Amino acid sequence: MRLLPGRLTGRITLILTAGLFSAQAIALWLFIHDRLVTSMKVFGLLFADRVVTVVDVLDETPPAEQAKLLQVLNGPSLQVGILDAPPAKPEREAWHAEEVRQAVRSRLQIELARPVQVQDLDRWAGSPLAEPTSAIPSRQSMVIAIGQPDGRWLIFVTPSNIASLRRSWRIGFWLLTMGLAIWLISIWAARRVTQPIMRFAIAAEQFGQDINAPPLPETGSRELRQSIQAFNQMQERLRQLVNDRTFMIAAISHDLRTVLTRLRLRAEFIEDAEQAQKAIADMDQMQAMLTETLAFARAESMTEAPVRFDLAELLQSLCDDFADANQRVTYDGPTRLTYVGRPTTLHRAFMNLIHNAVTYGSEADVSLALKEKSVQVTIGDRGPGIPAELRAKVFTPFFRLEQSRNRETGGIGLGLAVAQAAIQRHGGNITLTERSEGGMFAVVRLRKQSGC
Amino acid sequence: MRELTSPEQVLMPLTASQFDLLVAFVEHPQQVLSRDQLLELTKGYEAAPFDRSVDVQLSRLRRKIEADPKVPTLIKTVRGGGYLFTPAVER
Repeated sequence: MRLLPGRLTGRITLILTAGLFSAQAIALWLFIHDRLVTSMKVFGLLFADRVVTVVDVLDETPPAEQAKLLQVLNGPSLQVGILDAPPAKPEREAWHAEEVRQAVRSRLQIELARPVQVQDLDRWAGSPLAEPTSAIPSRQSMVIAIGQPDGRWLIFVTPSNIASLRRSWRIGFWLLTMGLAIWLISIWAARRVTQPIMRFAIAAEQFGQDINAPPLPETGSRELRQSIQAFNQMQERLRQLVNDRTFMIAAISHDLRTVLTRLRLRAEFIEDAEQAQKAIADMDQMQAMLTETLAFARAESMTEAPVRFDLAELLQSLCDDFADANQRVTYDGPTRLTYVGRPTTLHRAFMNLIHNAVTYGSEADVSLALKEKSVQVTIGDRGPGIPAELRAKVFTPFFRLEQSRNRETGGIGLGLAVAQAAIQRHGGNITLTERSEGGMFAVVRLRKQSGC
Repeated sequence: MRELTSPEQVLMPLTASQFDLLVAFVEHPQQVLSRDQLLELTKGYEAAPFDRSVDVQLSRLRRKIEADPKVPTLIKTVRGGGYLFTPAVER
């Protein structure tokens, strides 16, 4: 089990709640304790006054009538009796009531000038007065013993309410209310603090998909502003780097094409017809490679803006195009599915995947399904598949499974790289899995947006 | 711009030949267009007598613009004659 919540909001909420709540709880406890001891003292001293009165009255009473008097005095608020020995000290006494016992003891000693013993009621032994027990002593009761001149001990047991905090539910209620309030305030505060961080994280993610994402506004705490600034600078440098690279590739491709055109013209003058044809075929191949490389370089920095478009129709049209070229391509899925993305980029990605399927796997079964969290496009083929250890590698630019670099069966190893870059820009991924009936599945998961 | 959007502003991918076909219909609204006429309008040449490719393209176009392609209301088939684009066209 994880002890800390995963989200920063959760962590800050936890820290704030725990800190504030314990501080409040301690304060509340101290306050209540103080009030409790004070009230106990008041009750204790009042009771002590009654004890003094009873002792005074007993002193005036002839010994023969003392027992009768004690019986009359016994009631719900007072237990009194005479024993031969004082009760034993209980093993444990409530420490917070020591102050109260001390106050009662000194009051009685001053007033009566007799041996006085004040202690808590032994909760295991119960009341030392076997009878009469008209009042039920509780564990909060105190036992007061006064040494009489005849050597016997006058025993008083206080009623329970002296020390008990009867309205203890109130503390619970206040603790709960307070806890709830603190918790809500903590959530609010944590949200406020983490919101800029969340925005920052989302922006960083967006940047991963789109290098042309706008820079972040520098808001929030100082640390955050610093991070955002560093992040924006990094983004700018990266964008510059990618643009430079794209520009360089584009320039090289363009220059090479110019040379290629000149070369093509010169090839016309080759006298040997067969050689001339071969030279032109080689140049066509070069041209195609240049075009593909340029397309890949552009894909990384392409500025196509996302629009709402029909993804199902895009796939169906693609399948139709392949079918028109006498390829075995089928489509299975809904006829309409609105998706927000870059249609040209995705068109190219799916075209590459379907092209691979029909080229190396003789057919393509395209299916589209709306999953819980993603839009899933599956392209199945009937080819020999790709060994598991090479499945990640085939997405590397210029990597080809066929070592012959045969132009007739495919490109120069950019098809899957372009497809992956395009899918990743849409917050998705491509996985290659084995098809149980033979062949392979290319599974494309695109991030599902609200509104589709 | 060659773009087809639905009333909900959803972009509908369209191939060049389907776009040409749609243009042919939009420029001749509420007229019955035969296969030959459509071929001429879209490809600009006389087609072979039994060319069915127009029908294939048409069914794909219907899939994109009809609410229910099985019961077409925008492009209707006229028996023995050809196809009819029913809506009035605004520019």
